[in-house]
Amino acid sequence: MASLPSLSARRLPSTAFQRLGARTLAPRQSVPTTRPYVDGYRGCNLQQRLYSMRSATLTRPALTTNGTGMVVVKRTYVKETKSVSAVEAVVRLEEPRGSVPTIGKPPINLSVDPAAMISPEAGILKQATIMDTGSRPIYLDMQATTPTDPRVLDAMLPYMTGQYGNPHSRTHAYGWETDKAVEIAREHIASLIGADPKEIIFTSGATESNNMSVKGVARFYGAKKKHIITTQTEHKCVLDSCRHLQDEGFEITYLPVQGNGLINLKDLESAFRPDTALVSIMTVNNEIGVIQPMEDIGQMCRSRKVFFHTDAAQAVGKIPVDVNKWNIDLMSISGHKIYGPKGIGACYVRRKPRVRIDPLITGGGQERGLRSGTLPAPLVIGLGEACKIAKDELQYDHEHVSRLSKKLKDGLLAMEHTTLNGDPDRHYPGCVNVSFAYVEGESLLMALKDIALSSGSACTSASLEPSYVLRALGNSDDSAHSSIRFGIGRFTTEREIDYVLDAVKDRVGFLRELSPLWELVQEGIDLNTIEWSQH
Amino acid sequence: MSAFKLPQAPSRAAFREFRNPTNSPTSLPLSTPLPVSSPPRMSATVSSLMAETALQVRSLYRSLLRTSNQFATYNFREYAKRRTRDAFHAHKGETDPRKIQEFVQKGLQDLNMLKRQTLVSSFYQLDRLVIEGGSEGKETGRIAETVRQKEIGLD
Repeated sequence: MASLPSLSARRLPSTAFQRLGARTLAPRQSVPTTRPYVDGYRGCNLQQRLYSMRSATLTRPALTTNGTGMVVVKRTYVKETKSVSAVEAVVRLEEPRGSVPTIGKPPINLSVDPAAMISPEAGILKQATIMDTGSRPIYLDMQATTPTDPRVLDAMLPYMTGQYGNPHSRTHAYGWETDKAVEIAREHIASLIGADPKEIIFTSGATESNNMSVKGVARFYGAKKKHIITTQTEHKCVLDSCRHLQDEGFEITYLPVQGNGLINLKDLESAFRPDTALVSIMTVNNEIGVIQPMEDIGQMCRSRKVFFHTDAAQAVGKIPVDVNKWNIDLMSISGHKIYGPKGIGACYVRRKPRVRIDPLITGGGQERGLRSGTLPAPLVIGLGEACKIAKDELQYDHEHVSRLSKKLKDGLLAMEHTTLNGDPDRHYPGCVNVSFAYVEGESLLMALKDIALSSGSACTSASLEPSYVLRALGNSDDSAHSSIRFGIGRFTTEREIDYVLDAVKDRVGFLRELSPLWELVQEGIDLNTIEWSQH
Repeated sequence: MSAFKLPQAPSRAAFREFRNPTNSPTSLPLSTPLPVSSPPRMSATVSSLMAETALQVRSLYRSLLRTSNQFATYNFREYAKRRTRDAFHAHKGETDPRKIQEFVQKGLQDLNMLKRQTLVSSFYQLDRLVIEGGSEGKETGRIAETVRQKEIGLD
């Protein structure tokens, strides 16, 4: 009995012990691999371990009988090949006495407490017993972030509750199932932008993707190429990355934009130098929504063998994007701009011709070594689902957004002294940026408390400075101060637009009535002719 | 004795009956390949099948709309209703049974998703949006009497 593993021998009940004892002497004896539900077994409090023993393992001295009945000790060092099922040990823990199996039983009463149904605010404001009407503002800031689509949440929830495996775990089923879902998500993202799944690198968001692309390319090719081209209307994270590179000795060209927000291709052409490493131009501007001529820029870069990076956080899933048609080498994607979860993004890094980048984050070597760190599997799966929905619904959503956008734009521009910022034609309809002359933008935002709006990008909304994007278009400080951005998305309804139009007309009229400037304008005095006295 | 017969492979007729049920209006397999062995009965089978499909599609449409209406969040509720309506209207002229089956399958999946998500949304409710109508104020005790505190959205 010395050959038995002592631990299991101690745990075994006497019947099973005898069976296992018989194993060494008569390996062919059949033993049921699964324990039948017999009450006699349930009464035993010991852990039962039954091995399936179709064939014996001959790694240690085993007793075998030859034909004459003599016991021969045979020592072998090579393991016999066995079927997989033979190796599996069936472990069954005894259930506590009197326990009732509860798995898979739905909760009995799922109805929601009616007190919680009406309004959480009602509990705080004690006297208001009825608060059936709303107090929550309409959300019209889809460029800052978008609501998470219920379909996305539905895809994520299983991976936030039960399937929590690390997608990089290769040794067990928890890892495999998550890894499979992550790879499917990667395929969805790739198919939305016309790329290969291997070219998608998951990051924490578009800011990280932008940093990774700009700094990564510059640092990798920095020994020979020291020049980067970008525009003045880029997002802050690209501009800030460039500023950091400037400190490291790179030269940056900030291209100016025309009055409509588009770059002049001739300016770009003349900005190229032999040592230009990278061109970074965003597809859809986050503040004014203009769409840059990506195809022309891409061709220009490819013919000069310069890498082309684009920040497509506002474009992916909203307008058709094709990395091969546009000759894009690096592209930043954000999850929360396409009705996905926050905290996830992706970076497209072209493989043919290969783009090499110096990783910002090093470590375990995940994501081809370009972005180490365990993937946040639920977020990645959410992003994949968001991309899948965006691909299916691109046309439908675009029509809906265009219809509402036209209504809003026409209504706002019908008011006097209002102008649309950005090109009216090369424009993503979901972003409407309008200047209301003689009204201070911030005070209008305060007056429009029942509508969630912004005067510019969310990152700069804390400061009272006018938007640098609108200044780059050549707008005056006054005009930049009085601009408001309306973001329309998949979940915006026509009724909300009607409400917004009414509210804006009302409040703008009210604020203008208060303004002495407006009085002067009504009297027909040109404000530029007034000489203001200095105090 | 017959109850203890050994299990046999299902007969061809039973299999066809399973795939193409004619007497069970609630079963789901809709537009599987039509039986070609009996040409005289075919037109009758097709029309009954089509009628059955139409019935199921209408029922699916209604339950999708009903479930969509249970979203606590205004925007999701309106979107779900609009998307359902537009999807059914966009494909109302569809005649290919295979495609119809695909759409119905997708609709059933979406219905399950909606059931889960409307429940989730009902657990995490927030205040209503300003455009959602309703009453507000103090209840004085008398039935259906509410003192209005403010006009909706204007303050």
